[in-house]
Amino acid sequence: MTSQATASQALAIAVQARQPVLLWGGPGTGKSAVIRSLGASLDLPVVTVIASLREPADFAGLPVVGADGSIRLAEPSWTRELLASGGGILFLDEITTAPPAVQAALLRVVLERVVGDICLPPEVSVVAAANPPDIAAGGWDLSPPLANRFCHLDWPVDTDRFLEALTSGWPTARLGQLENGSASDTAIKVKSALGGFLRSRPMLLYQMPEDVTSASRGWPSPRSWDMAATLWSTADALGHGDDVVLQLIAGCVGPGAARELLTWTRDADLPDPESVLADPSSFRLPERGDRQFAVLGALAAAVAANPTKERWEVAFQVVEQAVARGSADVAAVAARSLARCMPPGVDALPQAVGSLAPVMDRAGLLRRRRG
Amino acid sequence: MQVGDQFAAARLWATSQAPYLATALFAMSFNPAPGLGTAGVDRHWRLYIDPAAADRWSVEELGSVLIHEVNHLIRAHADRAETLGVGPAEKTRFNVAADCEINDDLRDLQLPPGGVDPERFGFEPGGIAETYYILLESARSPMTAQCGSGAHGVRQPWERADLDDQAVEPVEAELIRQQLAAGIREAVQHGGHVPAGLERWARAFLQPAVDWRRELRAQIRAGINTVSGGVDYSYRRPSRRNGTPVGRAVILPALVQPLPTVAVVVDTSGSMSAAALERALAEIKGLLQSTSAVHTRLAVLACDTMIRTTQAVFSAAQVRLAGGGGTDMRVGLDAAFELRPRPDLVVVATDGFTPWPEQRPAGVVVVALIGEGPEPPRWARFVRVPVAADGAD
Repeated sequence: MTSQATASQALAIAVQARQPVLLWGGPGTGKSAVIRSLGASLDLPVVTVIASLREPADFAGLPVVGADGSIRLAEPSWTRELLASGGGILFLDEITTAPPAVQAALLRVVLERVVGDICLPPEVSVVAAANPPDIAAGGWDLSPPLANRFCHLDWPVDTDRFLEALTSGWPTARLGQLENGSASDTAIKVKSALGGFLRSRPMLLYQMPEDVTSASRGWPSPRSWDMAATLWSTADALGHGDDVVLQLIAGCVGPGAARELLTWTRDADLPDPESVLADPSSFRLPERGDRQFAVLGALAAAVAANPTKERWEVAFQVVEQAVARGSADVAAVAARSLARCMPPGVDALPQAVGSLAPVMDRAGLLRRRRG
Repeated sequence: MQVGDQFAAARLWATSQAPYLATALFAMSFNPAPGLGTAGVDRHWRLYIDPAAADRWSVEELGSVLIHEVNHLIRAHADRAETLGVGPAEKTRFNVAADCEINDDLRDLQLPPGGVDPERFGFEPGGIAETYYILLESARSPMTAQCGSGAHGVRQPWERADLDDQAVEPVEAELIRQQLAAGIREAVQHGGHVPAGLERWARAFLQPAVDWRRELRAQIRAGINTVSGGVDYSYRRPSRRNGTPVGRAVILPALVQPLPTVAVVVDTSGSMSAAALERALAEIKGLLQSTSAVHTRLAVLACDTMIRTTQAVFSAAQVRLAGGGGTDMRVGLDAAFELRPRPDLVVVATDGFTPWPEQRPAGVVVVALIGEGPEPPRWARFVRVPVAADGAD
């Protein structure tokens, strides 16, 4: 479930990272209001262009015949304020109700900030808003190339937040200052994590959805992964939580790929089973049961892959640690996997198993083996 | 006997019954809750068990209860209740609906007596909580359920928000679900036994079902656009503004709207499900009437192994399913593209049990594929229309 607070945090990060972002929400849910208030708090001018009322020439440039007969693409008037102030937020409203030719003309504006023959300053952030096609009458689905250029954020209706806004105005997202160097530190960390993930799941680098509905939202491509990495490192550098990070990554590459990435990084944070086996004394068992289960499972798998007497006994030391911490059930699952790969030269189960016998007996796991 | 030991044994039993749930079972944190009378979960995966109830139940019964509770968390019942706007007054009804969704999957286990299932209220098993929630509105028999905010989203007095270090945050929960769903998919691929409801959940979680109505609309709209450009800008024809002062300096595009011609081919062979066909046709008709294609010229062909009727009017009632007989969509598509004016877009409603032309036809083809039949060739776009009434959800 996305909350409006998370969505507006994510929006603020995307604007600061200057990545194109698209807000999906029904008419009248306060999308424009939040973008104006974000512009005010960042001290940036907001230039609103309603895409559905415009012609392709308003984004691709109007072809003008010069005195010498040459044709040049004149920039439309809405670019003037952004050019003059050298930065700001370009707010493209209602882009799903824009005809396909207008959407095609938007392609270069959104990613490269090129309008006609001119280029908008790099400090311009592009924010778009759209009504889901099943709400907007006569709406068009976003074409996959345009959809892939945005980080998609859902803008839900939020009663509490609205009531708060009635009395005190729209709350602005917490804005952080990027410290010098911190962004590049996190960028290196994020890029190496992403690299490791995509090496282990090469299929996820490029996956254009087959159905039109999903293709008009975020989906994995080299470009959207690149955007996801930028947003992730910006969010990290600003010290935001996992919920905002998940939202931003899911907005770029879709929720499935984003969850897989975060699951992968979470597992990569677990202690490496080989180093635990090499030095069990320095190992500390995680707090939560599911993490304990993951660590002990990895450990048992590592021992099963190369079962020697020594490794096997070290693994049981760790199992004992789990018993001592009161996680007898987690320990018992690991002990059962270890018991299945008993190496040659071992003739008795270690001490730890004795302390696990009562719980295993009561769970009916010993009875079954005897019978 | 210590309730903690009882819990550990029960959880171990539960993981041996349902190994694919191990991660989720171990993610729950355990808190004794004297006086609760049963077991419950809150939104942050904290589990509460009344020691008296745990004493009353066998290890197998408590283990089954754990699997029941963890199912509330996996299936995100709290978030789903919130989406429906469930408040304190409706929480029991939603709780019972959620229990019905879970329990028809847990028949192999040993839940303590007194649990609910869909049959108790005369409902079809295999449904989702949202469906049961609506059906239960008119149920007369009294309902009791006490599974906590993890099952209905409404905070209970016995839940302890102070145990911060035990909380599983929403993002963590999503990642646990991801891991579970992937594990369940793998277990199913290796021939493991996973309850049907949980398997459906995993499939839907990893690959959310797309609303076929929305997809069909989008495909037909895209088909019309590919054909004619739809309402679009063009430099082929001078703009009407070209006479104005601006128009002398600037080359303006004109707005063009070519009229696409659409034909609908309906498979009327005996293998078609009448109800599903009706819904598909209603959707196609509604779409063609309501979108930009107001002026679309439309022809409808009924076809099994030969063309039965061709008409310019569209009504589901006019399409009669001829019992028995095979289908040959080659005949239907050939006939459609021989119509004059030749259609730009052909929408086919079929169950897929038909031969298809080997060559890509001379126009865009969108197939409303009814049921689980084989896919049409790659040159056709297709959308699956479920046969079951609630299949869209």
